[in-house]
Amino acid sequence: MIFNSNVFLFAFLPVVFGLFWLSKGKQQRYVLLAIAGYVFYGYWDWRFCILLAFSSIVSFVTGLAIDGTESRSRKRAWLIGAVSVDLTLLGFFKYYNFVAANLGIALDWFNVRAQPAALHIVLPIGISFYTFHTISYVVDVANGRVKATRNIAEYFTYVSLFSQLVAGPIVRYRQIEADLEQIDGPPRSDWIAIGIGFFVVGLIKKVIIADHIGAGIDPLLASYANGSIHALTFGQAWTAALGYTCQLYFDFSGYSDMAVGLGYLFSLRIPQNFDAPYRSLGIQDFWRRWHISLSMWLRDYLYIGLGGNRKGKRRTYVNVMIVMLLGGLWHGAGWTFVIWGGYHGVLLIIDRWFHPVFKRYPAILYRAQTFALVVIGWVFFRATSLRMAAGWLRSMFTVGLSRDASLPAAPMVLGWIGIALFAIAFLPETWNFKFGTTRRWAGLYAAGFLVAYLFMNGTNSPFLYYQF
Amino acid sequence: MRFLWAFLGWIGLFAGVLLTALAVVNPRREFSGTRFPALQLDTRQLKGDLFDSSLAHEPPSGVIIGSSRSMNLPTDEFTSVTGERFFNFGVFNATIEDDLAIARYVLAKAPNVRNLVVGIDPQSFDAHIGPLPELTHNARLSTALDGSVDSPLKRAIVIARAYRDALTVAYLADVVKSVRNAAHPPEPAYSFSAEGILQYPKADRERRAGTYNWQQHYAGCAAVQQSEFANYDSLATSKRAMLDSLISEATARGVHIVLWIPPFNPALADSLRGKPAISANYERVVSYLRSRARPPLVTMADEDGTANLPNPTGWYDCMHFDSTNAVAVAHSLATAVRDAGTGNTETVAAR
Repeated sequence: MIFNSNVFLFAFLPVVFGLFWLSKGKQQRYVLLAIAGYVFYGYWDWRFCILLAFSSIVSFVTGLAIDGTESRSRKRAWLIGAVSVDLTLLGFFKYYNFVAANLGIALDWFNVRAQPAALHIVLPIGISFYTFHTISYVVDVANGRVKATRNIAEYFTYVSLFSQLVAGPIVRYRQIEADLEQIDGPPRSDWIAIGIGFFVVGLIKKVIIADHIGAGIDPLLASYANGSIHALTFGQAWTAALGYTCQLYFDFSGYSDMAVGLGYLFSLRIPQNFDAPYRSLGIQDFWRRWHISLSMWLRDYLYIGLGGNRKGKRRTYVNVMIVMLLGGLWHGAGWTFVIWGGYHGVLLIIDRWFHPVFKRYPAILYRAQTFALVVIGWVFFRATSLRMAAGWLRSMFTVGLSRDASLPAAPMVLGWIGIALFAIAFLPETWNFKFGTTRRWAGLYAAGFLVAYLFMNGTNSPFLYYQF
Repeated sequence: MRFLWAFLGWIGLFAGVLLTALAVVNPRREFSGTRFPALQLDTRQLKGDLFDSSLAHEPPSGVIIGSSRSMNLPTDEFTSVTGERFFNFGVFNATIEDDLAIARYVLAKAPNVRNLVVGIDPQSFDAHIGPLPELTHNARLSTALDGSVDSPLKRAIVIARAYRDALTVAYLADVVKSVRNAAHPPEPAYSFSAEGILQYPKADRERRAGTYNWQQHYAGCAAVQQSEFANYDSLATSKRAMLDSLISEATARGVHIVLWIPPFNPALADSLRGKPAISANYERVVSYLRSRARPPLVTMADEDGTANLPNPTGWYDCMHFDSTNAVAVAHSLATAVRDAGTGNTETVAAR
């Protein structure tokens, strides 16, 4: 089920919302939200729910076990056990075939005839996200940052919360614990207004801007990927790169806004995931503004775990590279993602090295440089193979050679990219909107919703981050 | 919650205004309004109205079903050969689903129908071609398709779905265009007689004046046809099952069926024949239809009579023949109908 679908907007959401506010007491609301999460998730494939439930039970029990022992070694053993289970599940479902294929190539290289069998594995949607939820919970319990909950319904509500189950933001238990504890409170009209506002803005970002850009560049890139067209022209390559840069941002930040909005509708405050990332001054700044919940997760649970910057410069750079390579791989089982992560790792190191120099640039220049580097990185992120990425980049930087600067067949996409770039450059991030919460604003939100619905109706466009 | 109620109230108000505008302007003729000019004809709706009206006056005993390529077959030619009254229920872009829905509707509403002439476009067996919104939004036919003609609940659901699906930017743009056209209505490209026969007033006027751009119409039509055939490599089981249902339900009531494949313009036919995959597929359709022939109740019309048309220039594009050729095709089909009724299968190719 996707947020921008009739079944979600006119059946699932009204029913869950109505039942939620009609139900009394924490336990009823936990159970309702947990069931709603499983219905939402099972709408794709009910078998996925088994995995979600298993992962939730393992981390819930581990949390109790860690909390119930004073022994550091036992805490550690429970923690390692639970994280291993989570990573094994993620590794098997997401990376088995990737590892098997590459192992096969490596064995072939050494003339070893054994080839690991490829398996027909269906990747459970959202597994990367809820695995990070459960890992963060057990790590936080083990480190004493959060007390393990004894209420399994509350924990299931946290893991399976439909607003952020499939594509984040990656919410830590401690970030939402206070709201979960007060979930039995009465509805707050201002939060409902803010929730609707966030949701409508997110819907507009997704169905009006991201989807129109996607409609222009996706067929072009699909044709290039499947070989129907042999090479992109200079104009096509840049249009596709800039288009994807905008599409990804409006799609994912639109989704995140909708998730935040849905959270508010149920009195749960979901943290910010974007902060005008394309206006960043440097790559370090970019990672503080793009997919914030993932960046912070990687920082707190991986980078700091590896020693962070406490063990000297060289080790810091090694840690940065490890984190970014794994961060890239987290997005998908493919070398393009690993290279994208590595590329950002190198940029982060350069940015650290030269930060004193870059700081002296005029801000607009530094911003433009950062943006250009990010755009180039998205080529690896979007390409379906290294060959495609290489060809695409070659077309972006060989205008003099090809002497062909023709643009995609759909010139409308340029208009949408222009609108998107204007919004990126000049409009405030959704979190900086001052959402009106009085009734006189209701008409504006309703008009926004209806306009977005006119664009959305009849289309079926999943969010880009659902694939990760 | 007061904000929520206000929000929902505004949504209701805006949606109500929009839906009223859609219904009143009705640019695609799916709803009730007729004051503003239509931008595209909903032939399923229009033919349904004409058919219901014909039942009230002179009920037909034969019905022509098929796509736009069947739509200009003159019913009086059928009457002159068979002595029976016919109605042309051909609709634009007919799929097998349309054929089955129309047949079911006709059989439910007109018990005295004894003949069905079913024109089958070969590509309608392509699994990728599904029922169009014009069918799924048509209360009359979509309820017939799922076997629940006259079910008020199903009709209400279909109508609600039609309104919901009309809430799009494209539909709204059509509303604006239709309102704009109200001041200067463009010359209609199509019109229909009371018997449901399609006429091409604009194209006919241009042809008489020598201004009809045949090449352009041919090229546009041929490109669409070639692309439709490009990814079509097998006859979908579900589509065959639908045609089988049509045949079994009609013959169970003693209705005679004449199946036929409307011809392509010879130039397009040659071009398609030159492509082995398309040509093999075409042959599969022909042999499938032949396998369904059970004379005298189910027959397949003589292909020579429907494919070799007398007027080589009598075409609007790559697949739509004009009225001169339509008379010849109708004559051939009417002869098949007559012979099937009398048990004479000499002119019927049940090979």
